[in-house]
Amino acid sequence: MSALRLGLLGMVAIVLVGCGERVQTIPPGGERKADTPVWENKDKRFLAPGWTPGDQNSWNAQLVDRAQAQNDYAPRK
Amino acid sequence: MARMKFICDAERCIECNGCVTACKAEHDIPWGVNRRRVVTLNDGVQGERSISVACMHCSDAPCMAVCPVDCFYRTPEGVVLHDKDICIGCGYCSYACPFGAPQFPTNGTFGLRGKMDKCTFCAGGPEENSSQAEYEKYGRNRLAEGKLPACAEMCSTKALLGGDGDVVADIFRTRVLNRGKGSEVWGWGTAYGRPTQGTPGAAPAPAKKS
Amino acid sequence: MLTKPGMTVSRWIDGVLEKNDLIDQDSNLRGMFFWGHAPNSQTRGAEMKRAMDKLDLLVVIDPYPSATAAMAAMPGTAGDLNANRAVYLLPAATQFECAGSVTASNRSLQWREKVIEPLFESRTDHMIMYQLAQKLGFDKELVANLKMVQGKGGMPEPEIESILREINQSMWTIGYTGQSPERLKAHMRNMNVFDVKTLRAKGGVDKETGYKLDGDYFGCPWPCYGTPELKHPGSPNLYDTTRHVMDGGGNFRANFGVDRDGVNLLAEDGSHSKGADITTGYPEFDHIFLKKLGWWNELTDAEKAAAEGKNWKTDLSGGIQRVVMKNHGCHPFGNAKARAVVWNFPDPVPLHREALYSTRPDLVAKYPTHDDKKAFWRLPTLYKSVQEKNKDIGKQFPLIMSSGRLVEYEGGGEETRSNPWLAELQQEMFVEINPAAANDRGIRDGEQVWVKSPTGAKILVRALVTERVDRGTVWLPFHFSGRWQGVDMLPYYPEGAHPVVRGEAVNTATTYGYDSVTMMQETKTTVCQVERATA
Repeated sequence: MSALRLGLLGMVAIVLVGCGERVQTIPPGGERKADTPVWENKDKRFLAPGWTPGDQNSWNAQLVDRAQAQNDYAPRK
Repeated sequence: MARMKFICDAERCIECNGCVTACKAEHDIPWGVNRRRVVTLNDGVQGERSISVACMHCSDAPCMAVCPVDCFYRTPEGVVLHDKDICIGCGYCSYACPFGAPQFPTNGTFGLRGKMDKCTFCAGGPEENSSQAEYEKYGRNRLAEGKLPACAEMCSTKALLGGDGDVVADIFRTRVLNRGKGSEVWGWGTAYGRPTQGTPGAAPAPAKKS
Repeated sequence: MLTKPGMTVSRWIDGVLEKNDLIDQDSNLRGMFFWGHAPNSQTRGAEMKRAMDKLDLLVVIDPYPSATAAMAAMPGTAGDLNANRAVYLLPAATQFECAGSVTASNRSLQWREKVIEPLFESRTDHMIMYQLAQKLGFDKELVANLKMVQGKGGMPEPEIESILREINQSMWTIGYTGQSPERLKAHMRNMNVFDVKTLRAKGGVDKETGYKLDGDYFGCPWPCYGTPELKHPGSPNLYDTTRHVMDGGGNFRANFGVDRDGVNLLAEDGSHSKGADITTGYPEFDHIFLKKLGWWNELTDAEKAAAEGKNWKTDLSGGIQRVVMKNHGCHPFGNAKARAVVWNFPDPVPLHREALYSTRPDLVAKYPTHDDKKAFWRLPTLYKSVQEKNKDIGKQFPLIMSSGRLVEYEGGGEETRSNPWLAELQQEMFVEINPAAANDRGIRDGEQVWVKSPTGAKILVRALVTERVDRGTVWLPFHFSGRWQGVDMLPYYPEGAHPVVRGEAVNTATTYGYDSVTMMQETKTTVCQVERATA
């Protein structure tokens, strides 16, 4: 295309960029919050017995054991 | 490391909706938002089957892939959660999800969608575990209490299994072996037919009547 | 009045509406107490409305009184309404607002704890009963054996443990005597010692009372014979001869005598529960039998005093049951054969008799129903005359109408349809209709239809077209109320007391028909026609 056209297009682009376009990046403080690991729980009121809050391995073992309650073929108290 | 999964044993599901009610009660979910639903196929006919469906916490979650504001995240246990404070209610995740898990409360004028709400595997959200803020936005955090999702633990027939993927798969496998059937409900072959040897894209075999 | 069986709940409306000279008591029914009862669970709803209007007194005692209240308040047939009718709504406490024992359908009893004090103006059922007895003047007699305690607001009510103890001291025949409040509470505190498959306690000592749980079946399922001290474990399965009677075993009772027409009704030699001292059939135990066997002196002096002249059902000391079961392994109610031929029933063996309202006149002719009864539970009860009159009803009403239950709702439904989580699961009343029957009537799935019955009543419901019912049958759930023949009853509910979901009651349209022995109402088979609702 002709140099005039190119120049015109270039000017339109510059004007558009310059005129009041909103920033589309997430502002600081607006990012997704980091989630606390699930085995850490400060609230002690409703904890299932048998594991230690804060201990990941204890939590893992607790959930694996609890899942066996869904198994009719497992001998369980 | 545990990777959390659901599996619903279609041989056992009796369409009691206990799971649905347990979820509603546990998280005080408003009318119109259905985190979990029971889907019944061939209702009223021989071979009728039901399964309970909610978010499947996909390893490669389509909802996460399409979200324009990147509000989804996956916990180390494989639970797919999202941040309601960032969610813009666009509904794109709802289009992407093959299970219809993302739900939108209708509120406000012009039928505006509210923040997306979905099954959290009873793992709450980004707020502090078991805090009041977490409860109000996302419901109860049972995983942080050392428990499994309310729906699975309340299931009257233990059709809906929830927990570490290895453990629930093993439980399901033991059941299938003991009763000799029930696994054919799932799988590529059931959905699309088994391809004949060596011919790519062969016509699907008729689905086995279960 | 009190010396013969009364009217059954299924016929209360006839007690009100029937001609006075045809009922077997002096006056018609004038007052009704709906105590935890749903009106839409009874048949002939249209006639029920007329009966409700004619009453002098209607009292509704329920945590959710709405359906009865609305049905009583809505306008009925002109001229029916009794100007003197007084309607009272008394709020009763829910299961969370009171403690006490409850029996499950496996016959186990559990002790329920109170979670909160009764809210607003509600009171416990036993407080309401006591206060009613006070008004009627027999309160002292009612609570003669009961300890009184302070209930809500300082008002006296019988202690709930006392009430169970009174039951324990009197219900010897069905074995409701061993389940004391102490045993039940100990069970609840120690649920972990019970095996989840057999429901039997493996060891265990209750920390609070020192009670040894070993051997008990959870909740001491009745029959649990003898006094609580006898520590009968309860009976997990009835008539199990592989077990000793003190281990939950049993045999068939000797309830019909020793022989009939020369045929021995007692068990044959060798047929008995494990370890029984008597290895043949034997009759029920009484003081004479005990003396004959030489077992009388095994009773204590106190037991002898109570058991003299009595039998296993009337010996209030429980001594006869104790000696017979613990010392000799025998069953207090005897050891007999089960009856396959019930000679005192109208049909000694079950026979098919076609329903009063049937679409098959040929089957009516082949399997006719019973003759009319002049006075059955105090009321004339019709069979043959109704069936004859409706022989050809199938021409106008060609579909069999059956009704039943859903999972998400319970009973009359006012309580469960007030729960938003359950209500969301089934938001509308419906009729299940076969695709062929629907197509013949131009009905598509989801459309509104009128279901009309021979009573003249018609209900407006949504069609659920499904293969679940065959071409000649339709099925409706009975849990709905709050709409009456197309009209929303919302204006007649006490303000704010209406449930989340309302719908037509199938029983508004159901018909006359009662069992020949129990007077159970016919809800499973009558006839109807279904028509697409236009406009």
